[in-house]
Amino acid sequence: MENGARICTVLGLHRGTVLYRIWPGWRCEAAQPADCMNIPCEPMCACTVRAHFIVWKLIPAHAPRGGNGPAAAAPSPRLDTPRARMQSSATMLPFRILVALVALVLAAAAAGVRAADADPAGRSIAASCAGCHGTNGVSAGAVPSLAGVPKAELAAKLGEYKAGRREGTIMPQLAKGYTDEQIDRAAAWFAAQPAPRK
Amino acid sequence: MSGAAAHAPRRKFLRAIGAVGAAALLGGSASARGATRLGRVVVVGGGYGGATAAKYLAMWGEGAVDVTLVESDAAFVSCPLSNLVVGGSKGMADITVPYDGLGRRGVKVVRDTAAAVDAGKRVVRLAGGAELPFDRLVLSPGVDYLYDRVGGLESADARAKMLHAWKAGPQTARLREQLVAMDDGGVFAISIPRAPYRCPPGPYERACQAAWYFKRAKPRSKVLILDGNEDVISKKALFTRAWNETYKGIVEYRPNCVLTDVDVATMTLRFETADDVKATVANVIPPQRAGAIAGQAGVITANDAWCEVDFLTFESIRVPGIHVLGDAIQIAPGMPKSGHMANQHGKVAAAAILAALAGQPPNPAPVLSNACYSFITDREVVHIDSVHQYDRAQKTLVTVPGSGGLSPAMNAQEGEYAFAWAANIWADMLT
Repeated sequence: MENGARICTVLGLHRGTVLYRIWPGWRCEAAQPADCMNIPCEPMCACTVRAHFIVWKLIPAHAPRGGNGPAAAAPSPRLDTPRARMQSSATMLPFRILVALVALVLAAAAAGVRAADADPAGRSIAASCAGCHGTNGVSAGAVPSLAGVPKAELAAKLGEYKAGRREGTIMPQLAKGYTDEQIDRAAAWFAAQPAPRK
Repeated sequence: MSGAAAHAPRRKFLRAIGAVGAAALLGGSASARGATRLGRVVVVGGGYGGATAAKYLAMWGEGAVDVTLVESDAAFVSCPLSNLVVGGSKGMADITVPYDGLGRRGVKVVRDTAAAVDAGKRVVRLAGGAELPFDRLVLSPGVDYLYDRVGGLESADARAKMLHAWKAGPQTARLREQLVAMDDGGVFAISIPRAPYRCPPGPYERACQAAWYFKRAKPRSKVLILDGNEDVISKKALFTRAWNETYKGIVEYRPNCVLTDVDVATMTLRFETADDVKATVANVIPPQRAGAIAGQAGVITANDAWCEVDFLTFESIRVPGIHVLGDAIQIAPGMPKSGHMANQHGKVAAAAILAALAGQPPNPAPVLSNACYSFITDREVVHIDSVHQYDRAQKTLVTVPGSGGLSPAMNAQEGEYAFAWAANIWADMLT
């Protein structure tokens, strides 16, 4: 097992996000999956500062997720603290602007990926809605979009359909087929999707 | 911190920016530099099941899986809504969607027909001669027609006269032409096979759409439904009401009409027990089984007709590495053979294949929904819907008690939803 300090490099810090360059074939994983975002097609990842300072590890890209198995037992890498780097001097300013720009590009490119990684089960439940509501909850027509709807709002609506307290055509019938936990996870997943442009 | 040390990460960072820029230029396609290859998946059949599986394998695989879709048609033509073309309120262009969107997702679309599967060597041979190796194969072949069960339909000429129009495409347009060419006062007969067949309410919707056309253009004409089943098998109360009220005097329904023979010269239909029928236009929907490639691949396991699958993965119970979707499978209880269900199969299979290629177990609790709209008029619709959860003890998908149901009556609001459903599900599978 490689020493963590050799297989990743802190690239920068931007608004609570630490950007790392990692070795190909590895990915970041935090205790809370939403805390780390692996960049598709690039050996890079971004994690929250919380993940950086608490529990954060590099594991082989194809190891099972969720902390089981030998891969998950890899030692947590020791990292240079980004705070020390960022505090160095004013000459770091252009670097910080670059970090900001790249973080924005990466965040936009990987927004869907991050949400998907956060809860694959939620993603699968939500996918059962996409036939009518559109891929990732972005609808083209009279059926409402679900992407970006706040979790509490969507979960409450579905709960009302399920309980027979809200009128509708197919939704009062379909909502009765989902468990409360499934409704909660699907609502959380849709809430994390970017809302469609009007 | 020394100057040199401070600059080292900056240089690495600039290199990283270069790599990100290259990935952005490639549009995140499967060929993006540095993508990790999980494996190769070949999908045979670009309908509701196969196209959805290909799209979701590409989307959820994030470029880590090579996805190839083998489809013989140049564009997707939807069976749902195709009865509106038969009735004349929509045209073929309204139900046709190109496959280009899948290409933009990183799916390689090959216009060819799968001729043979070598499950041992894990290779699909195409009619055009090419060979496609795979780690996982998805078969979504739709249905084939058992013409040997209907005497008199052996020749291509006979089949061109008595169309099935049960795979949307050229036959849909030709059936429409036959109805347009029919004189007022003619009889349009629809022969329905015994269940299970593709799209249980489809023949009844077709009767409504033909009647909608006759009511306006040929009011002395009749629609005769010759059902091989003992009764209307889907949305019975809603269709019966349409035939008795909206289309009173136009539609006649006859149960227990199991077709045995036809005579295309005299346009006569003969049945096991019911009286012979002479029609002006005869639409014969033959009995069905899983598409031919499923038989060739050895995954037909039920009644010499359908493919049994593990409902956690849609993998064949007989041939490892081959997943079967859509109308070709032996359905779980209460699961219709519908396009919407096939779309749901495609997503469960895509997630399971990606998990398997990554050495992970499948989702232990898949949930599938079905929403099915039938057009009574050109804009008024009735629905049936259901939710299916995996039951670990029974190892199958079961309809959730108390869920699902029907429209109370036909209505125009659901007509709008039905068109929105079509736009969204076509985008969900093809873009």
